[in-house]
Amino acid sequence: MNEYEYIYMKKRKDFGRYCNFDTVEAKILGQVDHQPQCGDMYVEQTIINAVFHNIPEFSEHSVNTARVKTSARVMTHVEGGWPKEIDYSEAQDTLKYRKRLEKDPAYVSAVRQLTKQTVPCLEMNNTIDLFQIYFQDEEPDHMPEILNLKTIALFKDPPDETRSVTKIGWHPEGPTKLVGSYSNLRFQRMSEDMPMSSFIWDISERNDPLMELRAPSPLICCQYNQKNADWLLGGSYNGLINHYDLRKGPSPCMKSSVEVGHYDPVYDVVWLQSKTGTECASVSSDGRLLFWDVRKLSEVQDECVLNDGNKEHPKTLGGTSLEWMQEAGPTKFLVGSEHGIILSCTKRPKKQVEIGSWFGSEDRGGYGKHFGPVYSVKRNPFHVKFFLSVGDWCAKMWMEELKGPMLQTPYYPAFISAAGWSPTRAGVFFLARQDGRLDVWDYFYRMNEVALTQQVSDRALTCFNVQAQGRLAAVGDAGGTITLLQLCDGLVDPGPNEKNLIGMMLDRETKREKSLDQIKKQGGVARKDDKDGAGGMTIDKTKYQEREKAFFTELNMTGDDLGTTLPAR
Amino acid sequence: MSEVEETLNRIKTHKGVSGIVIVNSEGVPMRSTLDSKQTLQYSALISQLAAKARSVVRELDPQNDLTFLRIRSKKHEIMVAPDRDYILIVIQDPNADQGS
Repeated sequence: MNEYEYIYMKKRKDFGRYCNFDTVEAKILGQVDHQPQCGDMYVEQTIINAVFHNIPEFSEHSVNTARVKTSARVMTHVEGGWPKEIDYSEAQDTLKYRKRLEKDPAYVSAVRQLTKQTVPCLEMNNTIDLFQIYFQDEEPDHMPEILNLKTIALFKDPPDETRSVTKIGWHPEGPTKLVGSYSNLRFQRMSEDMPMSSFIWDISERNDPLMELRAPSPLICCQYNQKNADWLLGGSYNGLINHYDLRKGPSPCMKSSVEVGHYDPVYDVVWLQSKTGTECASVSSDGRLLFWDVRKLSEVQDECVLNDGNKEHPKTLGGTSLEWMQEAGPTKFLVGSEHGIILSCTKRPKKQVEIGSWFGSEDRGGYGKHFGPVYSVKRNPFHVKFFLSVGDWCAKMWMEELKGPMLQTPYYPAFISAAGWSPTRAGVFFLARQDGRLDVWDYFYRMNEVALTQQVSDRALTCFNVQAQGRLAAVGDAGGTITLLQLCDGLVDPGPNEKNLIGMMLDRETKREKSLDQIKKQGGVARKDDKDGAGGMTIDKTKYQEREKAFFTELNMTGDDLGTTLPAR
Repeated sequence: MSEVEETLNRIKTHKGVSGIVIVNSEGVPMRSTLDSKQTLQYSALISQLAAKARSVVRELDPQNDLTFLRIRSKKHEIMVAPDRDYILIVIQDPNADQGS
């Protein structure tokens, strides 16, 4: 192979200068011949990609079974399988056929054989009672520690768009059906095409609602009439009251007029008990409690403006919940307001509805109001003078004659959106929390701590209702799902003498509140006398605390753990 | 009196027996002491139930067979004695004497 070189000279001082190229004629300096053996020497390099790392590999995968849609199908056989040539409606033909079969010797022997089998059973039944209940009168022994709630059904809001369940009503005649009102209460979050209807569910049919309740504006609350289960009353977002008669179809058979109805969403409705069963009341955040007769929804029977009781500049309070109970007195209404105060209204015939007391209102000498709108006011079904309210992070128990709360639960990390008493156990109540948990308090067992907490849903719980027999409870959440829960026996069967003991406990607390009030009043008087301001009040307080401590040590309890003592005022 | 008649009468003498129905395998009531409407109901419903019960027993163990079916209810007990071709249904109220 030839070596080729091209030599050029450059002075040292020209090193590093910029080149200045010229165009010149092409000239051949040398030639390299074509060498075929070089092609054989060509080796392709194999490329290997390898990755190394020292971290264990994980993968995540979740699978959920598809929702199986089931439906029930039935067929009935009325007549037996007669042979083809015999018409079963012809008495003569069938008689003839029977006669023929009876002559069959196999028939006779079969009957004899079968009789032989049956007679021992008959005799056994007559001799002993196989199904005798031995421990009938025994009181069931419940361990209060092992309470549980069992989810037995989920009812999902059929439309795709998320709406929350705002109220649940149970069918008055047993745990068979419930009505759920669906709406979106967040201001202006309702989209144009959000479905408006609410649904009635049969608890044994989870996939499809039993019936639809159509409405021009979504229902916020809906309740069955106690006497006539075909009647429902719904309060809509736009303030109208709808009266449904299920026999007449899913559309409201009567609507209130726009002029006389509420200006704001109707937050709660109740049916009242009357001879006709047609009277009802509704409350709305426009600050009015209205009374209706469903036979004539075009006009209001009675009206009550919910104000804060200030004589010169009354401030209107928006109502968010309503409680009425026949046993507590048919004239008495409890209204929970947006401002955290609970109002007690009295409706006497032929008189203006008047507001009797403002629970928790500082202007009216009370204390301890809720920090948020009162979403639930519920009277204890056994001791109707006492009622429970929720409106912030705790639940408070009140007594009709007291201005402040009597008892309260500790503050929760989550807002409480609904509450309810157990209809069978005087000391049990339920709180639905916005972190998806349901809390059960059992005052009969212990007052310092919650008896049971259970995560019911991933979404915020919005409403709660126990069935009147106390065994089933329905909880609604912000995702439009109603969860049906079965309560364990411990939460349903009342303990021995529970009603009286709870009554005594509540009376004791009332007395305590009253004497505290008295001490406070005396303290006030003492302070007026004592100009230094050191006051009898403080002395009384420390004395009180000492006494309380001594009481608790006597009972081997530490007072601080209880959490039931109200903060000192 | 035929032999069938005799045996049925003997069953009837037992305390609390309120009805006897004999049904053939097709569900046709052969003989009954109940009124026609009830007979029809019992024969149709019980014969289906007995067939279902038999198929359950056989499904669980093909060598096995249903020999007797007792249905206890709040008001009475229904005793079903199945045969290859016929089913005897006896309705008894075991607490008859206590009630009256």
